[in-house]
Amino acid sequence: MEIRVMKNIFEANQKTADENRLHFKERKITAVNVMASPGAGKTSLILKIAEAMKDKVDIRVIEGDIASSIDSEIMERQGIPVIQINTGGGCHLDAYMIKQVEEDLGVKERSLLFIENVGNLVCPSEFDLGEGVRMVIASVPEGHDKPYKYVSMFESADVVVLNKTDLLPYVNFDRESFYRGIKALNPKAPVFEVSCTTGEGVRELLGWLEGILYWRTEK
Amino acid sequence: MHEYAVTKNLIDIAVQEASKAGASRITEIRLVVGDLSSYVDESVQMYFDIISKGTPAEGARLSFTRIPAEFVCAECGLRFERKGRSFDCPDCGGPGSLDEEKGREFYVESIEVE
Repeated sequence: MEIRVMKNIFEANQKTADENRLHFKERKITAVNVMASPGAGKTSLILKIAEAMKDKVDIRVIEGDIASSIDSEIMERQGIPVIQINTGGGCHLDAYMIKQVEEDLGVKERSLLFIENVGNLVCPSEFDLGEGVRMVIASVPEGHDKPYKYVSMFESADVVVLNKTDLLPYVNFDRESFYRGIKALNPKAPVFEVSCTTGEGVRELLGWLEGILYWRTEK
Repeated sequence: MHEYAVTKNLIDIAVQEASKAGASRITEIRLVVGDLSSYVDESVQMYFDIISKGTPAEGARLSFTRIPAEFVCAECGLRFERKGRSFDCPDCGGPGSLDEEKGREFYVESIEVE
């Protein structure tokens, strides 16, 4: 006998993600899921943004890593409230992890919450955390072909940041190909070119972020 | 990736549905998997054979229907699956645009029970 099921295999994570999303919306928390390869600049970019915005809005960070507290220690030194999740081998954060730590972190109403995901261009895109914004960071030395290779990640982004533009003169990065790839997958997502090292382009990204604060709490 | 976790989920879903219908054995589980999701059929099968032991799903056949990611050419309107390195139209070379509705599926479509 056939039984029609039609059930999403990710439904457990999705259920918790939906609860998180509702919670963030009710409390007007802008939750940004920051995803990128290891070393592309997730921590650096969060620090740059926090430095510029922390007098205007309460900013807290959930740090996700397989192991170590390296990134959260950097945050703490800058006076940013942070909580570290060590997945112990898991290659992505999931909605349940966020739900568990958010209260301990003391995230305030009308605030900005950065969730720095595990460095990985594959798995995090499959796990909705309940975030309001998906920020995907690509970096110049990684090459222009990343949108073609990591379709799911770039397609799911609300905003794409191309970091390390200060290295453009030194590597073979075909901007036209990169943009063509992003446009094919995700014509709506704005792309910001920045250098966390020189500060170039960060102001424009901040402008966009300020424009979506508070009301961008649901997809 | 995560074939262990997703396999466990799909077994839980199948066993729950079988139990609701009062069935004691599952003979087939039909899955729909989009190409944009990063799951490998053989890995799911491997974990399935291990995790399903002792459950009503033990010995069930897994079948996979793959849904490819589709692009639409912005210039000539052709629907195509990407070829190689680019998302460009294989007919006219125009820029392709991803159809957001397809390719990300991952669900249990139906099960066969006795």
